[in-house]
Amino acid sequence: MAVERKINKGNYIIAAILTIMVFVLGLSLGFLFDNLRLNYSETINKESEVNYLSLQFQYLYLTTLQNTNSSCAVLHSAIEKSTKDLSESLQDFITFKENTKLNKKEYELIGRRYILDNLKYWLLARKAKEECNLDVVNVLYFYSEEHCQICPNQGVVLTYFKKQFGDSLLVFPIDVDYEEKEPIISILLDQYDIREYPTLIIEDRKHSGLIPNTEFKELICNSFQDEKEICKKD
Amino acid sequence: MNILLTVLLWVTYLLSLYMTIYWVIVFSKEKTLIKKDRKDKIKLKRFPLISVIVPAYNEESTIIPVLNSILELDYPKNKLEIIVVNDGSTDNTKQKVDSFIKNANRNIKLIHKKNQGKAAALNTGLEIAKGEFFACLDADSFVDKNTLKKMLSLYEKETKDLAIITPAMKVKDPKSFTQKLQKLEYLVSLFIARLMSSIDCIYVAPGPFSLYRTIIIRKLGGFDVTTLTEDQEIAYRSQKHNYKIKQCHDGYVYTIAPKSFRGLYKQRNRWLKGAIYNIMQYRDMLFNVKYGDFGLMQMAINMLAFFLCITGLFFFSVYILGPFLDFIRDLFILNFNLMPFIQAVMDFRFNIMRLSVENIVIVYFLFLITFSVIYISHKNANECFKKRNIFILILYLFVYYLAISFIVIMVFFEILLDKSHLWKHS
Repeated sequence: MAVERKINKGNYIIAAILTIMVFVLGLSLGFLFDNLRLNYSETINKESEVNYLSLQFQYLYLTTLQNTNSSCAVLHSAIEKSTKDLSESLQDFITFKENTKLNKKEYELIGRRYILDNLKYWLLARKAKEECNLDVVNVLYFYSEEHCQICPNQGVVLTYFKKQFGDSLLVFPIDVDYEEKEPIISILLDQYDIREYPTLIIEDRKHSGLIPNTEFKELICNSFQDEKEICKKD
Repeated sequence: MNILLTVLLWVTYLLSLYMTIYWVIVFSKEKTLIKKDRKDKIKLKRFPLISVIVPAYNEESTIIPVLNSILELDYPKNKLEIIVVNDGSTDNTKQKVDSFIKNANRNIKLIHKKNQGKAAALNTGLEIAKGEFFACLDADSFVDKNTLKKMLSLYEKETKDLAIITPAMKVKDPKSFTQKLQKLEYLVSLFIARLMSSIDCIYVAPGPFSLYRTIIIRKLGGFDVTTLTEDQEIAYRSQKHNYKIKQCHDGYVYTIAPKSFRGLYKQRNRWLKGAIYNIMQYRDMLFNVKYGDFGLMQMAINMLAFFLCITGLFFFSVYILGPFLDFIRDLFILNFNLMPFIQAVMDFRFNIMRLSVENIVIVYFLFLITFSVIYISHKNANECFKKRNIFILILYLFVYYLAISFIVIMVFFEILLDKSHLWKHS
């Protein structure tokens, strides 16, 4: 049958236009949110800077003027809170960085600041422990976001015990992917002779490879001077 | 790897969105869509002779109810002939039909042939059919008594190049979960077929009670006995010769759907494989403007559907199965202590900044359209959506198509292992 079949050109064109409109709407909102997230991350970073200055001053006050138990306790709990806030916003930051489209450079800078902040807090925590004779354990945690399959597991263990031990355990995570951009990382890797990930530095002792549940708990419990409540269980 | 994933995801989004919006536009043009059903009796100008061919292979338990449903059709008795084709049955089908014919006193013939499959049986019936139009009824399907008149009134309205009228298929008495899911699926297909009918894009003439114009089907050479899905193949062939196919949106036919997943698997394996072979056989029509919207778009959609099944399964593995397996692995590390996870859930701070807005906009849109489609499909078929079907709806949206995609993957593997049928030409 030689029938001339027509096509409804209009349908195709209108559909294409509407599709593009929805698509563009989605993309625009995406870019808008990307910038909002960047601003948000930068504000958090600034907050962290100010917190650190405050802690530095408290430490200075402690060492220069009075060394009472209460100022030590206040200093210590302030360090603990700052570290906790830092690690929470770090999780958000990692998600933002994954999803960003235009702001890669800015996020890299923020990433470097997180590493420097964590190291600053780590040093301060060590000094505070010495000065105040606190019974706490500081753990420096080296991992790689992109090249370490099992690091998320170590992360789960650490997160769990951070909660269990409360302010007796402080964890400072360092993403070694920033090694090229942040020189201090190379210095630390060299000093502790770190070759594989994940690696934990528990009070200057190096532990390489994944440390699961019970071993980790043992290691931490053995590092305390007095026996903690939680170490008594099972 | 991440870039590849993102590109694939966005291509999938774009194609799904385009397809969906296209049908929304077709829908908006079909303004008569949700008009109430014809309550008044259909008045036909004339009553042509109708042949109903019933191919039967070992159907002793259902052949009599099927024949009865044909006899109950609202149509002049002397204008209806039934041809039962006994496709080499080895049970009591022959005896049952013989005694039925004796008692019924209607125009029913019974012919016997060697078992050669449904298409051959239909062709045998077609050889002796005298009707101007003919339909076929499987032994697992029951036709509503008004359907024939509704279909004929449609033939009266349309031009002489209308070759096939397709029925509105519904699932009969769904009981198992699988059947209830299929009932929902058939309702949606019914609605989409109505849209396709308005732009001459129907690509399958369902076996149960499609009404064919005898002279055209004879001209086309009858049904293809070499294909897996002769109901789809005859539709493609009609489209290739630029004949029209329309749907009778309220011509109801009830079919028994497979009860178990295994039964569903066998049925869909045959359908999907047949579909792929049909697309390959008629690949000349792909993107070919000579065949109107059917060539330009419908064939592309038929192919796209397979692509979307595979990418859907892929994204399911990456975004849902992957994280779930990670969770299991984490449980191992923590010696199956669930506390950390429960704690993480309780500590979960919802940060609006973490939402991926682009994804949400597109997915929201697609969901909105999906729910509208399901609602309209119910209205279109005069079904009401009962609240207790919410669970089925959830299964349908999130699980059913995963199962179908799984069957698609199996079909792909089977075809790859035996490529012989793939290059057959039309």
